[in-house]
Amino acid sequence: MLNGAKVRCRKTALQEIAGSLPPHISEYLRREYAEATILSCEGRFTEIFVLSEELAKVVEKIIAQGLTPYSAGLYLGRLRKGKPSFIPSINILQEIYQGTGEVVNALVVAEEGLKPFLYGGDVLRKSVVSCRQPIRKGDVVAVLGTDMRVYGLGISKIDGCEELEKRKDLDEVASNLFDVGWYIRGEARKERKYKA
Amino acid sequence: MGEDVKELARRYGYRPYMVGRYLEILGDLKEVEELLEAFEKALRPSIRCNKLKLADCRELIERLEKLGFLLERVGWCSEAYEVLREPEKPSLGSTHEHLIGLYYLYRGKASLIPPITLKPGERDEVLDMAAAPGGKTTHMAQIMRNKGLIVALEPDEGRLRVLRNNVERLGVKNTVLLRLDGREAGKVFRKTFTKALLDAPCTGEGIIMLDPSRKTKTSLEDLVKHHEIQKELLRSALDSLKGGGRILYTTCSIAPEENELVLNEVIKGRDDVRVLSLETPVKLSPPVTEYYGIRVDERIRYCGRTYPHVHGMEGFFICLMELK
Repeated sequence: MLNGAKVRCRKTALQEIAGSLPPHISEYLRREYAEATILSCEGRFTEIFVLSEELAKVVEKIIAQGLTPYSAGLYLGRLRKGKPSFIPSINILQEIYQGTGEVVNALVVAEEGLKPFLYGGDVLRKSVVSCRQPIRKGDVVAVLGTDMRVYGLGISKIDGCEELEKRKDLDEVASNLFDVGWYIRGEARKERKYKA
Repeated sequence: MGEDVKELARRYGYRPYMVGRYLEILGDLKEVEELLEAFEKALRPSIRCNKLKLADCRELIERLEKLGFLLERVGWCSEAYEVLREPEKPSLGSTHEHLIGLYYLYRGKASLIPPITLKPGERDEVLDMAAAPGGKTTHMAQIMRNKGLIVALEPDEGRLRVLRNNVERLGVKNTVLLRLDGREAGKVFRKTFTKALLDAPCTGEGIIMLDPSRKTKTSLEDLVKHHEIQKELLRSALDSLKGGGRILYTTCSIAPEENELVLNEVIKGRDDVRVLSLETPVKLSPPVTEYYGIRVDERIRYCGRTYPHVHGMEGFFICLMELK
């Protein structure tokens, strides 16, 4: 099933979800999408979308007829009850990094480390070429290539970039939460699962 | 059916009725043989550089050339490149550039023509009736620079997920995806859209080079079934348009039963539908105007076709209509 049998979508306000988002994401949304509509679709999990005015109107029409959009506009990410409480989409992170020129909460990984990561592997100390604060153990971190494009997400195993110094080459510094290799691993026909 | 038709069908491994129809369409046995020969040749894949994620396509081309690909720009589509040579590894579908959405991969070039011909603008509200896997949806979003609105429909759950993956991978954000049979669109979205793209599900008789099983897969009953569904889809698409709205009807089939005859039955007796002259990036072949004694509606003469042996790409049918 698509996100479970009974999915309900409703408009919500940025303030309502802002508390669950990392500060750099909520700040960016306040700045760049102040006028946008936020759509929350709750089923087995809760997915959040950002809609332009045109999209919001047609989504309203769809919902009024008892139908449920499968996705709409900019996919912001998934809200969860457990930890991590929010898993951002690749697109919102890429947009923030490109739009602000500031890469935060991220690990930049060398090509040799990117390949295993794109097959579902974890991020090892030796492949990290740069670390961008804030990084806290258990939080979601973006995994970037040296081209500064987002290739996936991990769960940090380190508490701050300075901890990298204490780790050995083969130590896992972030476990794979989602990577773009998923698109071709034959799993595309299943509902997206995060390894959280 | 003549012995020469049966012989051609036997030689190329087709159902004889299919080759008989090709003779009816082309009117010349030599040309039929050229068509069948073209279906034996592999197509070169093409890619569309995704301008939603790249300011300059040269970045993509440089990255792919470093990996060992040799690309040539498609003359009539500035963002598209034909792949002349591929390295042993990686495949076009598994490069990092593909995974992060820097390009969309096509098995042939013909799929690029419908979005360019429909020409959706930044203020358009577009319906994409049978959208998966999303090549044309994401191409339209690129032409619209992620502005305006696209409602993309797909009834099949698995294909809808694939569509969403592609929409997200390419960074599209002007689109709503909905699990809905396009035949319901006219009721759900009555007089809503300024443009519609109907890439109708078909027998794939234009892409036999990509799937040779289609030489024998389609029975006459299957063809009739497709024809009926295509008519329902086209009527539904027309119902979903605002006055003055435009619809582009296309299939990857060269069968008149799925193209000219569908239009003929849907627009016959309707004076509120105009068929527009096509401004396509490639000069198309004319449509079929008479088929087994059926003379189709005069307006259909403005539609067009691509043929593998003429255009070096998949066989497609394209027709642009406007609701008065």
